[in-house]
Amino acid sequence: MSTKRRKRTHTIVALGLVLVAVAACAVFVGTVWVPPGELLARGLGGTLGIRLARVALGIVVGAALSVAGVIFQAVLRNPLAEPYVLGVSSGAGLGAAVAILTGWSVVSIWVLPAGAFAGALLTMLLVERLARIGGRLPVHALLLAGVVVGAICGSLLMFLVSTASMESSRRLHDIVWWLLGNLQISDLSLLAATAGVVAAGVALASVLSRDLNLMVLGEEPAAHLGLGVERTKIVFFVLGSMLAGVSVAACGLIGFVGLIVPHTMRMILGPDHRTLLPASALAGAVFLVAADTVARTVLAGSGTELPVGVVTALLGGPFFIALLRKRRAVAWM
Amino acid sequence: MAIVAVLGAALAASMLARRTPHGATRHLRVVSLSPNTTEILFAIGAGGDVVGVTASCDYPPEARSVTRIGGYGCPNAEKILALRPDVVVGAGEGMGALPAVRLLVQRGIPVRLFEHESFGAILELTRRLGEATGRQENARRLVASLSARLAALDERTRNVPEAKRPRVYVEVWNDPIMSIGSHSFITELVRRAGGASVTADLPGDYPRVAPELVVERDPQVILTGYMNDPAQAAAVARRIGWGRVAAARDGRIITDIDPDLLLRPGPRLVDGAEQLFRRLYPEGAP
Repeated sequence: MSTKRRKRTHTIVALGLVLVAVAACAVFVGTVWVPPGELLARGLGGTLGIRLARVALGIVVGAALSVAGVIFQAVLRNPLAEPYVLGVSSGAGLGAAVAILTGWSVVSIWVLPAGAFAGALLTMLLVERLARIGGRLPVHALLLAGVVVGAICGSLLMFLVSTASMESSRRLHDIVWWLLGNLQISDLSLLAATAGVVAAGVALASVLSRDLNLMVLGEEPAAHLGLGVERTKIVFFVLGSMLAGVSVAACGLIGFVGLIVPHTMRMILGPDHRTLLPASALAGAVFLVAADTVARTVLAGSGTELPVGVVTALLGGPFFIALLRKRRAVAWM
Repeated sequence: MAIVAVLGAALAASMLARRTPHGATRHLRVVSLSPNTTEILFAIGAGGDVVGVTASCDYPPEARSVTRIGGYGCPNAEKILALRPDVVVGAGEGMGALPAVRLLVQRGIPVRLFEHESFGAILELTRRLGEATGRQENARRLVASLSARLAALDERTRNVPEAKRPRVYVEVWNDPIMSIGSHSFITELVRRAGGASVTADLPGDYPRVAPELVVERDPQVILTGYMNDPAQAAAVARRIGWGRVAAARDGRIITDIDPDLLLRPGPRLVDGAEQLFRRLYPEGAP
């Protein structure tokens, strides 16, 4: 047991060091090349500040999406589960589209994230209400309710987009841009709020990670082992949705991270959630910061950058395929 | 050569101003597919001929009461056909590829599309709209007065050396941040006003730009084109990493020039250039 714990500590520390290294490199490259000495000498008020804020958001959102993925994969006992599986993304997308189309999003920097978060929250409550059968929350009902509510929100979003095209192509462009997902952040308090919620969520999930080990055994065995299954499901459902919701609110839809990172870490480290959860948080942060560094630099010649959502799948897909081929027999839990 | 062109135009105009069976000339029926062509049509006295405009056509105020035929960039072919236009005019890139516009052409409706990405093109557009509506003389007068004002402005700014020109960053949209590239008429506007756009070297007309690129180029004046709201200036200065940009430090973030004077390639663009000149050189000519 003690060697196991030591091994876990080693893994976490090693991933932490990788994160520090990747983040440090990410700060020194960007769309514009600035000599490192000059960059540091000019201090936080300039480009260094912009890059640090962006790397920080990448860490926060990468961790949030990965932990949400771990939670949903375990609680729903489904390898295809990811942060958006219960409709959070479509709800948030709908909220964001409303904020953009009403024109309110230009009033304050907070309107768009607030709209997206409200959409995510409402979807979450609706899914919970629909899935609740006789005081219980069956997993299959949750999944189905999530898919259906997600589909409905998705078509409402399509409806808004299709009618919007008659009036304003610019607002349409804004919605598409938002849906692509990007880590540009201009407001420090928005970054702080996102980081605060995510830190609290990841910490709580880590404390409760042992319960996830029981949940993957199945609800009945978990109950026999003394776990309050219904209460646990509700706690993790809210926790996962909150993590996904604040991420989406801060930077739109960034796919793939929440699906691939937990699986990758499970392949490497095994299914113990006490290691898997914090390791996924760190690995998700590393992955998203690295992907965003590519997004920021690949089009540097034309002074622009890609939305990171475009890069995550392109970068993560081949990596994941390679990993799958190397380990043909995959125990996903 | 010029005479031939004028004669041709006059002939075309007389053919377009069809006669009713009773012999009285009836008004030409014109549909405008872009806000700037609408504005020019009204400015050359052809406003009465305009029977259809887009939802974005809000100037002059009379244009607002004209029948709407869809949005700028997404016209509705059925609505246009129902208005039985003699000619459809529009300006802007890619307009000829719009399905609705193709449909109109297939139906044999005369569709006249124009470029507008430079001041020269906008003056030419004005002349051509004059020809298309039989208002050559009005168009000629408008072009002459705009050209004279531009020449007067050029006189004051032409010789300002590169190093003395204020570095101007024009933000046409804030999320994502979009600026003006080498192909945009706004880059020319900034230059005519005596400034130098910090994004003039970027390709295209309205490129998305990375925030750090703007910060590194340290603009002395920032011009926002999406909203006239003083709160916007404060919001730009408060952005992470933008606090030390010269324009933010010196409080030279201009949000109170009507965006339409800067972004809409019509006659009021000259007002925009003149206003920007006065803001760039508050103490008078350089």
